[in-house]
Amino acid sequence: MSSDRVLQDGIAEFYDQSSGLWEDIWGDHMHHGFYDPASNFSASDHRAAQIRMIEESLRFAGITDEPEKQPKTIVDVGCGIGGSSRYLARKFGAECHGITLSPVQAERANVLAKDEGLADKVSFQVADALKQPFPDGQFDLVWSMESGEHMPEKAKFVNELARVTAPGGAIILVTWCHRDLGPSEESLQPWEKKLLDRICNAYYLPEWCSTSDYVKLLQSLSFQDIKAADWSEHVAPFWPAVIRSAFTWKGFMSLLRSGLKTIKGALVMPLMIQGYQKGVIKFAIITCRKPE
Amino acid sequence: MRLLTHNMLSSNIKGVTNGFPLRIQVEKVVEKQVEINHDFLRNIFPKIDWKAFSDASRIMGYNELPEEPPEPSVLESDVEFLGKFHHALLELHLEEGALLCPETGRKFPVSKGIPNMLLLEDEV
Repeated sequence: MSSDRVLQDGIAEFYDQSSGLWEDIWGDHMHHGFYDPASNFSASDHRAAQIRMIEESLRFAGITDEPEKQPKTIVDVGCGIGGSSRYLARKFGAECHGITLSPVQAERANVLAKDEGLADKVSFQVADALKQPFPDGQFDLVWSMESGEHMPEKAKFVNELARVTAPGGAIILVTWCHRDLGPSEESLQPWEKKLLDRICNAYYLPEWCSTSDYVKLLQSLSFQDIKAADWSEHVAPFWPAVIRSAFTWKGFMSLLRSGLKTIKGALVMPLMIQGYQKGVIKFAIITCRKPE
Repeated sequence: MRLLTHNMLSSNIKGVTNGFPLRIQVEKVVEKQVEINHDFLRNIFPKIDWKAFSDASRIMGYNELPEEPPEPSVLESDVEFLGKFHHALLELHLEEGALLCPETGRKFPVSKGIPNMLLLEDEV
């Protein structure tokens, strides 16, 4: 079996096993919250912060509130249990299609869509982001919220995002990257690679790339208005909060019940904090537009 | 899987030049009621490949749609037609069955209403 296949199976199993626990404690958005760097916050603010992450991403990309310019068709690449899909479908009145490797997630996503009265607007498929089951140019908005880190072969991943974007449509890519390399650097320092390797192993991540790697890929595909930002300071409170949730009675018992893959993922959380603190890991947003 | 979704899916197997539309193999069709929204239907109509959609609806057991796409003006005034369009597009679900690549015949299973479009290594 190829390493890509092994990775895919690992990702699917990880999320089949862990999705329920995450949803139970954190709700249906499986991404970081967006916080003001200097603010204090309480535990109940995290859900609002996750919604703010979506809104800030749309704003960064220049997706306006003007009705004629709003997206009508959206693809959610790496959709989890469909939190973003349902939010965006509701916000824009748009058709949203989500793809995930996890059958458990797709099923849960459909149930939640039905419960929320959105079964006519959103649908979920099990599919590979590197081989999206859609014809070219289908979607006004191509949304990838914290799934890019799972994609091997970043060039293929970006090519597919680009392929399914409609002319004039936008890509919003929010993902974990490693720091940009300096002009004389060929690669990260050995200690940095070691840190990332341990994280990769637990979260089923292939090799990381940098934010500027993504920018270069999009430039080579002739996308316009390419913008990138480092939002690491805006997500800093997130991992400590997740760790604290694991130490609640409910969190702890759920972890024990969920399985080894989930537990391993939980144990590696302090490394994520270390990675951010040491400037190795960056929380990046990259957006762009396809020419008309 | 609704027919609206079917109208947006295509076979992505390596070497296939025309992977749309996927042929539908029915094992179980379920009807799920959804509130009708005329504006939504009018907005989505131009994006629908009508032939693929009306053929698919017949395979799903619904014979009320015309083979030729209607004039857009029909959607403005014909409430009966809008009802049929709505029913076929959003209320008929392929719960169990498969989608077949039109060129290679390869089956993508549909289980609990979810299509599995993952490819094997040699198809990528």
